[in-house]
Amino acid sequence: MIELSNVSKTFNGKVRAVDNVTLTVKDGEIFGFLGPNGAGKTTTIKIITGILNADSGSVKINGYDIKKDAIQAKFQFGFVPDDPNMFLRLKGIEYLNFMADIYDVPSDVRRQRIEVLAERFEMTKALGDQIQSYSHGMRQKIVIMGVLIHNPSVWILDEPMTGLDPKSSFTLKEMMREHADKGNTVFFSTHILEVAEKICDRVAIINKGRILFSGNLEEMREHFKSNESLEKMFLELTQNE
Amino acid sequence: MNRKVIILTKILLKSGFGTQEKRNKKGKISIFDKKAVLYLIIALSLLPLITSIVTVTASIYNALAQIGQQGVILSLGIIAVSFVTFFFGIIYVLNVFYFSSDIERLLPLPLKPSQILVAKFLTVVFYEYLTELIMLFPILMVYGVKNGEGIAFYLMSAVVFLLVPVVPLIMASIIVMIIMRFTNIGRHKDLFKIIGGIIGIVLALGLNMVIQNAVSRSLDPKALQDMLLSGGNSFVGVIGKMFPGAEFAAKGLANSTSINGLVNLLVFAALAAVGFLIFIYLGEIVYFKGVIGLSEAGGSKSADIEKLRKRSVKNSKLKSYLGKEIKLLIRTPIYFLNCVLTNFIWPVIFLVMPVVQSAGTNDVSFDMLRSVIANSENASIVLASAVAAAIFIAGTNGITATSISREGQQLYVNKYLPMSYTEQLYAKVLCGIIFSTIGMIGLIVTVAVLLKLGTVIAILSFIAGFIAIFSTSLTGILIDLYNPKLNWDTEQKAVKQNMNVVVNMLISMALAFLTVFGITMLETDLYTTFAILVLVFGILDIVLYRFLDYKGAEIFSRIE
Ligand SMILES: Nc1ncnc2c1ncn2[C@@H]1O[C@H](COP(=O)(O)OP(=O)(O)OP(=O)(O)O)[C@@H](O)[C@H]1O
Ligand SMILES: [Mg+2]
Repeated sequence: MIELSNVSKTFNGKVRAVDNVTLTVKDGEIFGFLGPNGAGKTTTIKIITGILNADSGSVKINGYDIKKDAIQAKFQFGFVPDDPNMFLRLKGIEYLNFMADIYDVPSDVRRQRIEVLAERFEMTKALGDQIQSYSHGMRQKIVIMGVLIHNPSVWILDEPMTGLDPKSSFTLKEMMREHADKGNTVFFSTHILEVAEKICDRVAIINKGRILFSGNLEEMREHFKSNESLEKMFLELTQNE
Repeated sequence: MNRKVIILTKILLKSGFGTQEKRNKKGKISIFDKKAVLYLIIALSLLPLITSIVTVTASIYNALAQIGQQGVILSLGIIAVSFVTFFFGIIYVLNVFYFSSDIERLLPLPLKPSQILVAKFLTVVFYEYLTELIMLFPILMVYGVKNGEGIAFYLMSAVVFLLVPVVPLIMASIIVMIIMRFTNIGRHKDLFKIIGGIIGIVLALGLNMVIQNAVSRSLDPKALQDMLLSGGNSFVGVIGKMFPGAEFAAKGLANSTSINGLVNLLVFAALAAVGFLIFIYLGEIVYFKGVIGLSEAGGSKSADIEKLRKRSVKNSKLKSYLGKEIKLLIRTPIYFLNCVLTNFIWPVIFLVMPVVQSAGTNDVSFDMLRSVIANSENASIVLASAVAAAIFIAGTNGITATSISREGQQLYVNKYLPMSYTEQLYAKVLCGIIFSTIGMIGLIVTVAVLLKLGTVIAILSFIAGFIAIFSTSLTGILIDLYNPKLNWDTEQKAVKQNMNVVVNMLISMALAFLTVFGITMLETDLYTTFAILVLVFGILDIVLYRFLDYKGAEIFSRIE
């Protein structure tokens, strides 16, 4: 569960990147975070994960406050940032072990997970190489594997499908569904409306830092009194502002 | 050549020198221009080298002028510069032609290989001019002034100066291009850069040694004449033949007022031109083939499940984080050369090289030093100096002073990991302490072997030095915490053009000086000195550690 209440963030005293956002992402649901470029999605996610300090408001993950109970809160989630270029001079396997160490994963558990994940994402052969030799999609995959290895209850993903091939993208969506169905939380941002339409239980639409709408697809359709595709609604939403 | 080449060269030069660097995020403008200070420091550190080149040239001139052979100086200088240009050229060419990150942006542009190649070649030539400015320029000037040369000589000198690096660089380029085309060693880019860097350092040190040697010999004109005109000369002759044209350039300069001189100079220029054409022709064929696909490094051996299993063992957070820091430090060439290797270079420069050099001569300064160290009256000063040296090593490697800066734009990753900032900072400090301690051990062992340092003082030095290393490592990370340099696009800028390193170096030098000065003033015996050093640095460590503990995480969390 992720709870944001009245979160605001201003850059350089001018750009209101996040403006009084209140959101709740419940257990057992996949929550899509939609919005055009520069809407404030990444900034919101960075505040949730403790990368940026909000100017005001609070964030709780599974009840732990990201500022007051930082370490406990951080143990609750796994995060896939929008830029997978990190630790490029570590080998894939070293990165996974590093993440497993940071998240206290016991030896036997991590071994089994590495095997399963490497198999599922077809990365077994690449794990012995440095990440700098990976393609964009492979880097994305290793970061996702770094999250899955510690099996957090909350997943936070910033545009996770970018750069993935159709098969891996499908695998990831499948995993997101499985994860939510076990009563866990999945929160992700995306531009791909079809993805949101297909797999999200609920969505929020953000523009210029403000939440314009939050609810399930039915409510959203009702809200706009139409049965048009989400894409049209999305365009309408963002243009009316 | 043509306009595109010139534009391209300009851009390459600019980005190479990092002149397009952005201001830091908050738009702060520093009180003084950091880069100007950096260049000033570099220039100052080169002064002794230039001075000795001038002195040596002058005395060689005097010795040779007696027998009317002063022209040999010109060929010596030109051949030496060609030789150095050639070796540096191999490293430059590897970096500029093949390993620089701009290549991926240049490849898709509608440019001919020869255009990119010529632009990159000119860039490297320009770098070589800097080398020449230090080595050849003083030689030409000393010769010109002493020999009372006229305007013709200086004009010819200018031409020679501009053309000397061309032939050696073409040779270096062709060798590198062929290697990169027909082997796949280019795949091991990082390793290559590290080896290249080490060769560069060895070469620079070797050169320095040769010059120092010449300085000591230049006191005796007769010996100098013998060396240059007999045995030594054949060696010079061999190297001279390696670089066609060098002799012509020297002959041209030596006869600058006659037609004969002009002819020689023209032959020299013609050779360079022909070489250049061959280079372009070859480059057009092999360059792109060697360069394309270079960035897809690694990927040779695939990992099998069994190995992966063995590697997957649980470690504590601190150990794992420390391991990550160490791996990145060693595997990133720029970090390795600047932060790791420097730990071991000081004893080599200040002890091993001079001792090797003085061996077999009637130089007694090291015997004197040995007896000073052996004298128990000096034990306290020796101990204080050893501790000062340890502080200096820890302060100059810049590991902790760049530990936040090195994270760059990826700093945010540290923010979402469930590991307290304080603990992350500890791991970073520990990383610096480990390398500094290894460096200090290297130093103590070197001194023990070469200067017969006693076991007791060696052990006491180790303990007190180890405690002192903590202080400079802690000041380093505190400086970097307050003003990290995160906005960089090449790792170079994180460590080489980082003022935090210079600041911590100055602090450590001040501490080192105070240590020696204070102990000299106190005139305490060895064990009291030891106790004082342990106590003073112990307290300093605790204060700094407490401060990091108390403030570190807060400052770290404010960095956005
Ligand atoms: N470090 C920063 N400094 C100043 N302004 C910033 C910074 N990061 C983001 N912004 C501004 O905040 C706003 C929101 O940016 P954000 O990255 O959150 O958008 P986004 O919704 O993730 O967009 P995209 O879909 O392109 O990823 C933008 O106007 C951006 O210019
Ligand atoms: Mg974004």
